[in-house]
Amino acid sequence: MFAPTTKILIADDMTTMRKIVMKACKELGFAAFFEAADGQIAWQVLNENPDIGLVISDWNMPNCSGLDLLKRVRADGRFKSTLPFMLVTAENEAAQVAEAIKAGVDGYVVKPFAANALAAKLGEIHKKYNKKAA
Amino acid sequence: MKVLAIAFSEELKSLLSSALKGDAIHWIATKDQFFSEVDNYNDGMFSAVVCELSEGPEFALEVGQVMRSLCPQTPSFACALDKKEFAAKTIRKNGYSDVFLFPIDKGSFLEAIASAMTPEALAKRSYKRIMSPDLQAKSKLSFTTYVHLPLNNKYLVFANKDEEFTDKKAEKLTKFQVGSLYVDQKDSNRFYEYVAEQMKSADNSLSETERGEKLKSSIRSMFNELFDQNSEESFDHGKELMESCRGLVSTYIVGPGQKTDFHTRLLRTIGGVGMDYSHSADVSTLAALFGIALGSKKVEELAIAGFFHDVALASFPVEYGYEINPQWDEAIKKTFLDHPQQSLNIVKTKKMILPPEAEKMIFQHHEKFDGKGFPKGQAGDRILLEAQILSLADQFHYLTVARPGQARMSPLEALEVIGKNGSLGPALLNQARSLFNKK
Repeated sequence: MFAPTTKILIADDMTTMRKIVMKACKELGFAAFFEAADGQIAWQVLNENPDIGLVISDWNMPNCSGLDLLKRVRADGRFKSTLPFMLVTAENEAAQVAEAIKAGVDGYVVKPFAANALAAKLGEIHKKYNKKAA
Repeated sequence: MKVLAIAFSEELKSLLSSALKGDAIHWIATKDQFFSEVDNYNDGMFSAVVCELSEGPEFALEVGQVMRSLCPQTPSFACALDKKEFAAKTIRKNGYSDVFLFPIDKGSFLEAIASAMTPEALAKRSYKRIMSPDLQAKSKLSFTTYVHLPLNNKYLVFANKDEEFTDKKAEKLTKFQVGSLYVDQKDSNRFYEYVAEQMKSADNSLSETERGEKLKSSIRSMFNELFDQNSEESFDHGKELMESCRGLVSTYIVGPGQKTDFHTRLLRTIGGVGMDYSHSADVSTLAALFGIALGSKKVEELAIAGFFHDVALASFPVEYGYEINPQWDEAIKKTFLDHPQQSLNIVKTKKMILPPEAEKMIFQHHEKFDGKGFPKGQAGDRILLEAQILSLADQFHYLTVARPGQARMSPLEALEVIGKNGSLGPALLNQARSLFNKK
């Protein structure tokens, strides 16, 4: 279960979008956040904070995109498939969604979204991980 | 309503100034000004957003995404003064309704601004549909209501704010079969407060039976609208209606003037999101509505129990349904049989204290009137009436939503299935059926 103490990494190159995602997560009871302005910084933050329990990342970011960050996470033995990863994206074209699924994304939310949509999506991801653990 | 104009060049500034009156524009001259104000923006503040691309694409794309997230109903337009900035596909993908290249697109840009500001466009964005039977004759309305004329897309005042909603007006709605009226979006909460108040107090001059009938008729109209399979309205409309019902139940329970709705509060209290939020919130809303219509005095407890009744099934595949299948393996069966008690245990580990009746409703929501339920196999009156109402809401929700590979059932079809499985007593079943019979 995503406990309220779950540490969340929010990666987005846009400060205001990070604020919007964080506000929605706070609405859901989460309180511990890390922020990263691009995929490269997000990767460093992840390495320095192995107790991060959920990543919510934008797709289009400089240096390292959300998709590349996801691929790195899934290829790394320390995280493998146990770190829930969600993409927040304006891209909802079938081909791109398929690419993200292939890379191991757990869920994606298309901008704009409301707190309830985020809650529903996180609920689905949690369900999936519980199933895996069972 | 003003246009939010993020303009840096004299060319765009003078174009907008000449097209619109000075006081119809809220100017943003620097990026810092935008970032310092943006937290306060919401839908209904601006008739349109205009952003110039000349300060670099990153800033303009951020504006597009942020405004789309904060003000999804407000159209936003990007203006490129240089062909190099005119990456139309990327710009649209990032939230803009349209993008214009100057000087050739000046004419269509001004047309887009003008059409975003027409009363029809503004009206479309700021009205919320309500159900006419929710308005009680002889009551005083705290909001203005409008009728929509679809042919010319106009909204005309039907009953004014602070005036009595007369018998004559109520009759008019019935006579012309007007099922929906509209209120200004800003008045949504006033509308919820009004309906909740009507439901709570009904009319003191009414007898208990008349009061019950009145409540029943109000809920009946909501249900009919929610589950109208012949409706050509979109899925979004169904979601919008469920949101309305949720808002109404929330106001009914927590009272007027609360910023955070009931279900968000419960979710926050339990912490995290390890549950199926939409199933929980929908069952909670339906249980409360059934409770109100069937005369329960424990509506809040029903809504709470509805929200937490399946919290232990967070990892349980939805396609398994709500009845035990002999083909399930033992582990799955055990999870399902234990979930009423486990749900209570989870709530307790979160240090939440539920009202004792709500606990009993959760514990008994899989008991059956014929004694063939679980966990205790209790029968008849030994099952709390509200636990049966919760069971009704839970099954009803499962059967009436679309599931992969199966068509959703109509309310009466769902009640027929529920009636055959022995879960509800005959009196409750008949009362529930009467909510869906034609008026």
